[in-house]
Amino acid sequence: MADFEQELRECFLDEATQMVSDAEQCFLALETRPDDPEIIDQLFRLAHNLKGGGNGVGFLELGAFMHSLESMLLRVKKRELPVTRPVIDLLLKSNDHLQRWLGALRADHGAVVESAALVAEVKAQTAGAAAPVETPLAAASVVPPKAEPPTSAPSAEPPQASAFGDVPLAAEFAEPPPAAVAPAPPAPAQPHAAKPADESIRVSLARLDKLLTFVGELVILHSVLKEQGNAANPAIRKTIIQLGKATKSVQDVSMSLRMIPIKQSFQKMQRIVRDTSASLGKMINLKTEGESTEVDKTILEALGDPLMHLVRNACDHGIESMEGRMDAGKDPEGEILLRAFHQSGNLVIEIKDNGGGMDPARLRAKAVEKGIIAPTASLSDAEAYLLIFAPGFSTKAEVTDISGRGVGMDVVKTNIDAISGTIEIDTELGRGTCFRITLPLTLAIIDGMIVRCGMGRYVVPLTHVHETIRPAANDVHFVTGVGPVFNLRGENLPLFHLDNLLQPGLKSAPKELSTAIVVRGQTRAFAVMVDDIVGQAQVVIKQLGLEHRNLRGFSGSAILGDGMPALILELEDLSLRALPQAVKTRSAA
Amino acid sequence: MSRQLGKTSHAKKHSHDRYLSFSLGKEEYAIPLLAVREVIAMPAVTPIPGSPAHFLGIMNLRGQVISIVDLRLKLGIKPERSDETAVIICDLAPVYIGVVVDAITQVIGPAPDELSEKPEMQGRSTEHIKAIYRTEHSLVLLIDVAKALGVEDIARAVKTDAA
Repeated sequence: MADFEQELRECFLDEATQMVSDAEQCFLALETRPDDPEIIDQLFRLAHNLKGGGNGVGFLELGAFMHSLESMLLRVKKRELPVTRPVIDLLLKSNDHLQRWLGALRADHGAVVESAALVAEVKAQTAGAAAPVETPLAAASVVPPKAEPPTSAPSAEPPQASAFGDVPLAAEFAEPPPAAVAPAPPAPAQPHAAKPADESIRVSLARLDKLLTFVGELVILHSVLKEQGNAANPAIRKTIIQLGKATKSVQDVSMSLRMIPIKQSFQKMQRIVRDTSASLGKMINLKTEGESTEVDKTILEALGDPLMHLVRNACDHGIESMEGRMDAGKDPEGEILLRAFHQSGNLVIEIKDNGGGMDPARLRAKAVEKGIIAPTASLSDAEAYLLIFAPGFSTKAEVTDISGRGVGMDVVKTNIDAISGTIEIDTELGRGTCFRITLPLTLAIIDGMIVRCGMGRYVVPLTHVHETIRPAANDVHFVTGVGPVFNLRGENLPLFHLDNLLQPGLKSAPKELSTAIVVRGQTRAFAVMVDDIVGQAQVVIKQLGLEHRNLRGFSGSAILGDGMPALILELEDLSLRALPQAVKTRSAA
Repeated sequence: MSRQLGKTSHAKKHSHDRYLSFSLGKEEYAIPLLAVREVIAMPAVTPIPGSPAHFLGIMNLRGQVISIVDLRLKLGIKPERSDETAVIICDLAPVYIGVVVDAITQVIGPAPDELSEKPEMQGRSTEHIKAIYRTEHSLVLLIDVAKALGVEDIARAVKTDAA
């Protein structure tokens, strides 16, 4: 447990550092374009993520600090607080403070950082300091005298100690900070030096894609060279072999760069559900499925915040109170199910709760009240569900530190859009809600079995192969209306031939029995006959072009060792296509 | 693999409106040069079962999987294979599609007065033909590749699948 928490915190600190530096850019942009609502929205999202993430990994003081900062940003967003120099100064100061805080936490997760003075300043701005904010630049004006809040800590320095001075840092930062008026405080450099910050770096998806494309080309060029090199002198032959080994290593490393199991993200949710349900006084059980599903690292990173918000949302809005559940005749303990799986070349993540579901009429009324839609607008139920993604939309009457500001779902939508995913809502009043996130696998790597059928070679994801077997002639019987049936150790499985699945119209002559692949899919089990199994390989999934985007049965393509592309088969989809009637009766049952 | 393109005519007059002309059977066609990413020799292709006949399949273009379409099959011209058979990789944002043609002819830059309206033809769709370029020796049809195979074919692929 300790190790695992340690890891979560490390991960959070990495993300938080990035967020803080993003926020800095925003603050600076705000200075030139103070009226741009997009910047403020982004800042708001960053603050919200930082708060939620911090609370999630147990940095509660950080969360509390972010909550007060967020309240101030909300005033800015609502235009109650004009964006003036002092305001931006204060925001930047808070940002620097956060940066130092994160540095301290990185060195020691138990680090205590005193921020009461800054909180006081922030609270003063939030509490409606109308007059002094107009005064330009004077640092003293940042804290209006009348708004000295009761919580004001004894350490609150006189506000004249400008910029970074008035934030005494405990423990690690022994040197008296008031001297440091420099824009970059020297203190955090020390913990950073003690523990190098660059254990991980962020690389853009585009650059990794480029790398993998070139590595793929390298592999192909090497195989061409290998064929040419046979007649050449021994030194060249040897070099080609060595080149092959190096190429293979480069390929392995560059491929493994991207993929990590989703487990880590799911574990984070466990913590969030526990804490959120405790503070809400609800009993909620989180179940997870498909933890080992591998996800592109960049996609997983972008998924972190949306998942957190969706799970918290499910705890807060989805699952009813214990009394409510008992009145409705449900188990007082609510359940949230997190599932991840691959489907038709996509990664699907479901967040499903068995709570109260969404009421479209209430959503509509709330949206009208918040001025998001016109009172006269007529929305279908499906459209009404989508309202929850609108910025500033919330059905909550009051703001708590869990929800109510209407930012969370906006984050979800924005982040998922950014990685070209889609989100669907499936909800039933009284029964629960399911959010389904569908993401492209772009460059996911799968272990594939390469099979031959006629002249073509195809890749079957190894995860779909339950077993392969060479059926004996007396195990296969023909049943009218069903087709061939394969008796596998007493179990009767429908048997298909791959070429019939691929070209349903084609009536091929009965073939002699070769190798059958047994698939146990979500809806049923069946066996598919292929001509031969060529081998196994790790392949990179290459999306088929848009011109094939609705062609089902293939989850993409992969480039095989000899440089030729091959299609990746979704045997279950193909078998459904082959026998539509049989399937309908099955799935109805 | 990129081949030397023929001499550029009229290029001085209209440097921006240039077209790559190619032959399909006995006919001459041309597409906007800006839509051409590169020209390659006929590659090895992996067929896609269940796709329309003119979809020859997919190829590996330096690590990128690209669909290859035979424009001749699409337009109803008898396909023949020769040394000159080439594939034009077209950039039809958001997709790249390789188009098989009989031979690349040249880059042309017709002046506006050398272009004429497309003829009215009965019973055949001429929607993909944008204009006709008439020279002393030949007649070149300027076509819109996206119209000739793009949108329609995406719809077709959907139907094939649903059937």
